[in-house]
Amino acid sequence: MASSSKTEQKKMLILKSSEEEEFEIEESIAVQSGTIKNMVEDDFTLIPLPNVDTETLIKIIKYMKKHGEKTKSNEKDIEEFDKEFVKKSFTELKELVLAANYLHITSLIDLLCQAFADRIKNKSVKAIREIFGIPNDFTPEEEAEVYEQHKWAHEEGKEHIDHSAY
Amino acid sequence: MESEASHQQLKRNKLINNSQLSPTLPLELVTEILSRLPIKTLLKFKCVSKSWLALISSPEFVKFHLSLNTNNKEYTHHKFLMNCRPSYNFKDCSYKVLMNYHPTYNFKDCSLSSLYNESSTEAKELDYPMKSYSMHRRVPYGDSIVGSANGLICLVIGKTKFFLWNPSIRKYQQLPDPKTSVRCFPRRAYGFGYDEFHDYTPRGPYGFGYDEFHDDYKVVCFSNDVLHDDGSCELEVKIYSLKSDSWRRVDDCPCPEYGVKESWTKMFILKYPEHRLGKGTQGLICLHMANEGEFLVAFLGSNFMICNSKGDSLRYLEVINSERFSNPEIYVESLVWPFSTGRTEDATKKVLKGW
Repeated sequence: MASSSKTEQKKMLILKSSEEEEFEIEESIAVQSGTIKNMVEDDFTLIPLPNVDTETLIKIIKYMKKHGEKTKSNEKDIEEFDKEFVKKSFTELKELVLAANYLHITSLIDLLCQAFADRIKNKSVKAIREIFGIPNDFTPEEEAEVYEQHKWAHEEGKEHIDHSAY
Repeated sequence: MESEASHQQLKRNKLINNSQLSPTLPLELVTEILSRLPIKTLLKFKCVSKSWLALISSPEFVKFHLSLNTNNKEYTHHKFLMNCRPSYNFKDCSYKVLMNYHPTYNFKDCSLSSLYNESSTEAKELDYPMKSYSMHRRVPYGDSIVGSANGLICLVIGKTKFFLWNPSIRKYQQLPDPKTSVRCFPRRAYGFGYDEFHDYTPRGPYGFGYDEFHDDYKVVCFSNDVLHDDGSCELEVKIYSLKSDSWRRVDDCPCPEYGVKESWTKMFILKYPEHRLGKGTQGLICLHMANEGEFLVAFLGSNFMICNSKGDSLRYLEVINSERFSNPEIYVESLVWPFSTGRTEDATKKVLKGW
């Protein structure tokens, strides 16, 4: 390896998913992830990511590549990409946000959390429990008490409530 | 071979993962998602589970949510609150009607970001649970907004009945009586006064704010009890602290030098063309400064405009449903509720005694 080369050879990294599949990616793009950046600073070139499965890693790499090309002129293009990117099932979004959180990709965490918020804001309490996998640990009396405290919030606009968990 | 066995193990793991229930998100991610939801949704989602109830009600979350809303550069969660009196034509009224006239004040609000970004904004009536406290009064004083802080509005009805109100969560709480005689608004001392001719409610001798150092909400009430021969008034100043839930008299009040000319700096002179001043426009009553160097100016009589830092008017705004407003206040939507209880239900259903 040439040590003082002035060529445009971009430094490449290898990301390895939990299923041991490897993906090559430019370092300059991969360091959008705070976690990867730290490992690069510790001289890693092969980055094992045991918390991220292959399917999710592919999507994340796609996101980082697109956002790595960000310039002043392609803002609209990236906006469109982001809009399409979040059109996924709740399960996929959850996998993605967990991975983005683990990888410390701030812009992706923001994008995914906002997508969640936008999609759940009109949903019923039951649908929320299903989406987030949360068991109801209230007794009927306890739940009724909490409901009563903010009754107006439940009653107003209840005809528009979305009961689906998708 | 070893690699074959490990490859099989990986395949098995993948199958197990896929058939498992989808993963649950850690609290920090749930917080990130919830902090982006409207308040009404957050109140509903308290019913999801005990952990969500604890999270949404926690002081940390309330503070985090408040700071997000406060620092939103688009003012998406700021509201312009108005005290509106329904218009009434006195000209052809009988004596009986006039004597029985009890104006019911309504509160309306509109989006602050809409005022800055749109040419037309609609004001909507607010659910005002304290309405009935004012319905039985004889004097046509309005329900006066004292001030707002962190999404809480401090109101005074009938000069000494103080309330804290969070319109976003629709809760209100009456505060104890200051037991001070606010016999008249100290016209001379602070320039307030009840303008009988135009019949609008001035701010009155009160103040409200959040004491960050002590994490406490304070209400200030001035009253002039002693009138000296030379015409000067002796002011009694009382301060209410929410933490102690009591009023105390302030003996030496380090009053800022409002009367001293040198302590004020002229920013600009507003230029407002006369032909635009509608009937009943009385003067500037609200000014808000936005991030981009724009100012929102509101006049009584429902005239709104945006001007720049030189006082030049940039554009005029239409605010539908905002006629005859007074007492404007800008507040931010928040979950803040520093009491353990608080009333929500419409107080008109209750019988009021001892007014």
